[in-house]
Amino acid sequence: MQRLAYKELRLLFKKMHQESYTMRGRFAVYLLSLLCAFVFLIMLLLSVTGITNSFDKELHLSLDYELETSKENIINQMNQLAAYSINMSHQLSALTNDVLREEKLSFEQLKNNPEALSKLQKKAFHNLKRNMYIVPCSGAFYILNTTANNNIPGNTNHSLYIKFTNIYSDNNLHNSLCMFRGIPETARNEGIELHSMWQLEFRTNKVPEFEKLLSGKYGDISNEYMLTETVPLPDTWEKARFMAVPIVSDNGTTIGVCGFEISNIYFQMTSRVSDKAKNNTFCALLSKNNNRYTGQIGGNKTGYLPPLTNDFTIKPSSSLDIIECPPYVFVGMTEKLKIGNSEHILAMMFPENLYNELLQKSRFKATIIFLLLMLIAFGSSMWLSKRYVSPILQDLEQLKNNPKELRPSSIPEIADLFTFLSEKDAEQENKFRQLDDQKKKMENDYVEAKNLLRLQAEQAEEEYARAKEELLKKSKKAEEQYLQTKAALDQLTLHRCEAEIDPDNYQMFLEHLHTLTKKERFIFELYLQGKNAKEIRDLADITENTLKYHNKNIYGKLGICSRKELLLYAEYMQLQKQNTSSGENS
Amino acid sequence: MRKVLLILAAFLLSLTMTGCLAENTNLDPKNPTTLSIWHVYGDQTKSPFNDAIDRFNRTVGRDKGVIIRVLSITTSYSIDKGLVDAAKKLPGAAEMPDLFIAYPRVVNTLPKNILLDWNNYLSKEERANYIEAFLSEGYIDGQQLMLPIAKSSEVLFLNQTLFDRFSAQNNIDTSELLYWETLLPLCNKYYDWSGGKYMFKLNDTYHYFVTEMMSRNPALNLSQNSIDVRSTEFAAAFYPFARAAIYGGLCLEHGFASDLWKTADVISSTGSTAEVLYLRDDVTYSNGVKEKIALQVFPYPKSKFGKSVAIQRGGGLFATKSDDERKNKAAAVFAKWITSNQENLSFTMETGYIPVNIKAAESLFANYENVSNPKYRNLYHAVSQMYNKYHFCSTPLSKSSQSSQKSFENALQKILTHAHAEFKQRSAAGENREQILDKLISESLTKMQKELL
Repeated sequence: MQRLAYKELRLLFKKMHQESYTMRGRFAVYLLSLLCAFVFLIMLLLSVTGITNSFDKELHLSLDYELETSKENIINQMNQLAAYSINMSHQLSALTNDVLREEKLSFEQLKNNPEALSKLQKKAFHNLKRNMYIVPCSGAFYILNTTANNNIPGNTNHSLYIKFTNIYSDNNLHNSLCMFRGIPETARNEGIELHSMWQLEFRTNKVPEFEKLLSGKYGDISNEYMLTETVPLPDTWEKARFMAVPIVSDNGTTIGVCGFEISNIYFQMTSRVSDKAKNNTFCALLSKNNNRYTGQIGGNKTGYLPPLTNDFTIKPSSSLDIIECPPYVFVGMTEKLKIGNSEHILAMMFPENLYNELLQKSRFKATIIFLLLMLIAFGSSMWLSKRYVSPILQDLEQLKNNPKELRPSSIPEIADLFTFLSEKDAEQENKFRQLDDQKKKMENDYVEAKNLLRLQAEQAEEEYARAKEELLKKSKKAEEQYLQTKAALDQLTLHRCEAEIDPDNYQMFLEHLHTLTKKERFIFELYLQGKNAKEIRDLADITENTLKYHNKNIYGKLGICSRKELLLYAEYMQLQKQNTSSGENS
Repeated sequence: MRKVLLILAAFLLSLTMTGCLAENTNLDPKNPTTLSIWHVYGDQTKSPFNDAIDRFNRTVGRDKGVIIRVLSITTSYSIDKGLVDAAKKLPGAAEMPDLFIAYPRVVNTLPKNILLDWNNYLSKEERANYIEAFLSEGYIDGQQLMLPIAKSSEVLFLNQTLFDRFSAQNNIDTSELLYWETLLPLCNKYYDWSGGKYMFKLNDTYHYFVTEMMSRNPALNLSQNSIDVRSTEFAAAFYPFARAAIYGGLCLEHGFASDLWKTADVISSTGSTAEVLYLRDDVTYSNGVKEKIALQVFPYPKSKFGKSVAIQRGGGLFATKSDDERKNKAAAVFAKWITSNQENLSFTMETGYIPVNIKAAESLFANYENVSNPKYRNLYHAVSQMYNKYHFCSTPLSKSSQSSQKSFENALQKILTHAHAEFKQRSAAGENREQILDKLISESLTKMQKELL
């Protein structure tokens, strides 16, 4: 496209050089080209500064930044949670051992022993409470691999699980606690309420990862922490995930699991995107489960956050990934996150419908700006070219209409030109005057020469008339002499012929002359005209034999025996005719 | 040519300006407006209000471009505190929610002009759909700052299963629960029978004194004034109350009765009709064993010799006024939807509240016997017994009402708990129980007067 435009532009310039264009048109095209280049430069600058950036590029940068920031925040939060979970595990392990020692019990003997468990829980409460107020969480739990009553239906574990009554985003200093699982006496002694869905013990089968941790064998627990998948908190409207670490006794037995709760609402409040983020951008920390993703959704700045079912599918793409959570579709970026022994996906999302809408708007905006600039460029070119060229044209017009009285031009170059032209004019006028003089002189010379020639011609004509008259006299005289001579000669010839010609033969010749055929008569006439045999053959268009044939017939009919005789008779006949006619004339 | 260029430039400029400057204040389903809400309906249990919000988001909200997100379900006191902290922007405080459920008392604790006047978004016809008394409760300083969405009164809840065991052995009838004169002494019988457990807890002890004093003297206007602890009405209400509390059958512990109900540490309580949502159908004993129980509901106890008075409870919906007009409009869309006839009826019936929509309320009381859940059927039966026979007064609203109520309750709890401990100690020492009791009641009254004056 660009190459095409460049080519077209080159052709235009070439054409302009070759063809005749008005000064204004030529100037406007050059100016327009310059302004177009300037517009492109402005567009480039606007693009670099982001003013006319395509929304696509802008969103890429924003999502990338938010993904990195969220990743960093979540890793920090998870590291803190993991560190405190591990520390809490060590403390709870020591605390359990202390109580067991005091009560002279083995861990197995805690089963069906509510008194000992109550004592243990009272001590553990402060540990959990202290940690809860320090780390970013919505609750803390301590689940033992035993139960207060073996006869309770279902697989329950003795536990202390406390939660913040209300969820705040920044810290929990002003927050009160409630007991979700645990001994009510502990709650009442500590002045906290029971959660409305309080139960004495926790069903670990509600969180598969807890069962996995409880059934494992561990040496060092430092790397055994994990972030569970999101699970519904039994009987409540809440969903949560847990940072969980096993609790291992001195002898290496896994006696429980402890850690912190991150409820969905808490995650939403703490995992908000930055102020730089686009409205409606939000993150989600997801876990993969049979090609589908579930997890927790972070908050956005304001506005749109649809009621998601928390069941995502991710379709990777070379540009932005497509993340679907029917009926909603998002575009976004994803990154893998490993938190302890669990793997997760961090996704930064933006609603697809809004993305398409804003993309179109940004393109429209860029197009409008471009068109506006082009319009300004075009208008400016036209206006500037007019402004620039019109005084020149006025001067030229002046030059055309009244070259003799040129008003001084406001353009120095043209003023110089006018001066130059005036000087040239003066020079030309001088030359013209000289030439005019020369012309006049030459005209005079011409008239004189012409008169002279006319006189000479008149003289020559007179001489010619005289000479002609003399010549006429001489020719008349010569003609008379010729006629006299000829007459004398004819008389001589006649006398010679009469001497040579037999009168009978001649009579026969005259009498038989009319017997000749047309062809023979024609050949006879040619002989009389003095033509030789070859000329007669050519004129009569006959062969030599045919001529001989006609000659033989002519000779036979006229009674002669040779061509010489024929010519003699013929000459005599002519002379006879002349004498007869001259005698008649005389 | 110049005209064409000018027109084209003007067109392009107008397009640019329209794109840059125009601000749309209409709701847009393609770009929905999200409102956060703090409410009290459900606490940490499965919340019928949340279900209603889900329904709204899927239907009207989706069509009109409004999404409601629940950020907190907690008590009205927690909301009050959270709002004050948020308004003051204290470190660590949450952001002000767009919508919240609160009592009118909260208005006095918040900065002026941050609340939305619903009247700007309700037509006269729409206002006529609300029960006037409920609507007027939210009309403060010439503005409709609180829009009622569900109201309640107070009733008495009974763990019928455990009470039956007690009554069977002591020849007691549930009719004794209907009057303060019989109910409070019964607490002590239960205390003795159960080996020192509470029988009864009032969720709001302050309300007991308000209703009892007004029952004895209807001229008292305790909706506007605080309790006068030197009055004869107070003393008359205090004596039977203190006797049960000092003896031990009446629970004075902080918190809601539903907490102790879970572990069978209390078997009856007075509280909001909405308490039904939190009172379980089972109790858990300390060894982890659970027992199914039956829940019965009775009208709020009254005085045999006075007028029947009960508190009209239930907060209302407030909205934070926003500079973004779409948010204000979105709040109005949700408020109208939740108080529409059918939605108001189904939401209130799931939570134990009374509808605020006139048609919904009429429909409820005409058909409560058809309610399938026996708990709720009992509840509405009890409420219907009170509906035309009780005088309902709203909770006190004054600048100091919240703190004076708190001071009163704290003093009462402290003095009577101390007296109870002393009673137990001196009884154990072999002193005459009745004499000690009378003496401690008298001393406690004096202490109350000293403490609160």
